[in-house]
Amino acid sequence: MSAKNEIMTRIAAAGMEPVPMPDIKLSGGESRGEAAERFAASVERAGGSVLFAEAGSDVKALAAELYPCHGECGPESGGGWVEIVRGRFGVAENGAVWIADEPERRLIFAAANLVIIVPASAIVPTMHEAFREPRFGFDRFGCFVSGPSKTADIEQALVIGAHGARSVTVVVER
Amino acid sequence: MSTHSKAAAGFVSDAGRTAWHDDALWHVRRKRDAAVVEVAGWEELRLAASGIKQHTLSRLGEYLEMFEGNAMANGIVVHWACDAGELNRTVGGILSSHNARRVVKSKSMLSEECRLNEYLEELGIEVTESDLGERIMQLMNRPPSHIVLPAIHVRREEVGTLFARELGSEPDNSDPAYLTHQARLHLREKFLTADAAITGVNFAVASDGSFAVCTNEGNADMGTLFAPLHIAVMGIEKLVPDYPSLGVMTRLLARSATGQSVTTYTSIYRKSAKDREIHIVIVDNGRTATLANETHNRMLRCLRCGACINTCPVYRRSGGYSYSYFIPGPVGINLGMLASPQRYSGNLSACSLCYSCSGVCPARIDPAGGIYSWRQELGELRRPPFVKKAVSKCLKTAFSSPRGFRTALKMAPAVNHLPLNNRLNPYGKGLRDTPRFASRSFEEMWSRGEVEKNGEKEKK
Repeated sequence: MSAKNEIMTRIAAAGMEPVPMPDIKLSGGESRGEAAERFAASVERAGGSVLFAEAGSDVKALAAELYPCHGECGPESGGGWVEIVRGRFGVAENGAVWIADEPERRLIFAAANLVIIVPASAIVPTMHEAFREPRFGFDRFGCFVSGPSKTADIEQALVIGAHGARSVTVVVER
Repeated sequence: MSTHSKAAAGFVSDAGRTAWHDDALWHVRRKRDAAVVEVAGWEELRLAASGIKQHTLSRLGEYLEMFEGNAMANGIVVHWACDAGELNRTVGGILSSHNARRVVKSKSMLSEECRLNEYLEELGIEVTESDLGERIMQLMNRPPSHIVLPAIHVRREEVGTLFARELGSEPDNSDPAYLTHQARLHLREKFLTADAAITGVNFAVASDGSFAVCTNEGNADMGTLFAPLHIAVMGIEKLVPDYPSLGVMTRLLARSATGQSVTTYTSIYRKSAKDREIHIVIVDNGRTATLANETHNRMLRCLRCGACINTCPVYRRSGGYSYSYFIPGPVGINLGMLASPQRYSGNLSACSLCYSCSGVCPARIDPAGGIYSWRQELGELRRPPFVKKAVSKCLKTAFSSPRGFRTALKMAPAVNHLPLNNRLNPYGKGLRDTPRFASRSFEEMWSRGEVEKNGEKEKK
């Protein structure tokens, strides 16, 4: 008997009584207008920074100003000193931004510093709305990114910049 | 004395270190509390998570079929393994068919459970743990002492010495930021040259055949980004039906684990990148036996967040190595008993039944209730020691007859004159003192009107 059949037979033999799926009706209970402020606070709590900008601003110039290059700006294994990516939407309760597929996938992990653009109109209150959001779509890979990479594995001391980006700036376009 | 208290003796002999460990864990528990109060409807969220997991487990066969079908349609290669040996052979087989000699691995409790690293190393494959805490423990050649914070018991100076020896960092530099940067440089080289990446699975989504991996460091993502082969290993209980269910779980996981509102990276894998491969191994290793155990199958709802460990007063003061099962704390006591009651029943004494763990568990598993149930079952396993059995029998006789009880009470103070804090009495060891019997009982004082009420003697 194959391992799969064996496991399926054992599960059937366990004979657990059916339990109905609970109704998930939970919401952060706030309008999308308030969401941008809450989102910004969450990003900062996750160790990132937030800038509000007019839609259509020159983010490239902004990024160059934020992350001036002082000689140590070589490419970091496929990503550069600073990379700019577009997030599909943000989540107010935790500051996460949904980023999907290539080339963004490579850039968010390989860049030294990351600038993420999110429209203020694309911020949902909680993860409940996030997974029901039409913009949640992706093909191969997607990631909710909340602030820079971090660890507290040495004596619970928080250190920013474990493996991924050492800094994250989220530009919220109004 | 139980195996737990014997094993804890070394840890608790250093009072300063015990206090430091206790504080570090309690700090994480307080961060969890601060994160939880910010969420409206936290208890409803826990109820939902518990309900989703129960529902999924009750139709597990169906959801596993759905997951497999969807994953295969996405081009993922699905394998099944009945036990640890089959998982190890399967992963070893995939690696050797791809000529993979160097592997980077992110944290997976399942791989610890099955001793996958040891197996692969015997095959001559280099396995590098990429989570910082796991890497520290791997370089120390010691197991993790906590499932979320593997090196929580290690002091920064010890990491400094270790990295100076193993990675060539500056001796005597034990600044956490410096040491983390040294690990970043060391592991970056490993990521870039790895032939394969192994990850665990936090949640598998049946409706889409995709799976989520949650980290703060981005180490799982760095591994899977560069290596041509990704092998994910998951227990059969990791399934959720759909994305709305994943929404509930991601709201609970990091808040319960570390007090963050979400992990830095919640990565969802659906298809491999072009010219790459994703394999997934679905493992039983005793989980179906747990499923058939009506009293204890709620343990299969566990999200492995570690909240019960952080809050446990026994764990905080005795450390992860005092438990004989590889997962410590309330969850580990239960999982150990499910794995082998004969081998791991010693851990059952590492619980004061304070129920703090049951109050924080996001999936409402009630680990303390599980430990209580296991203790009731101990008699059948013939594990309680002779002395405990004999004492229980005497107490039963005394408590079931009022006359016998009064007589015993009257005679009890005589025991005070015996040398109670002797070597044979484990209770009197260390800082503890065996309590004394009062010279007169409450009942006697009450009947003579000697009990004070609000500072005055009760008038009779």
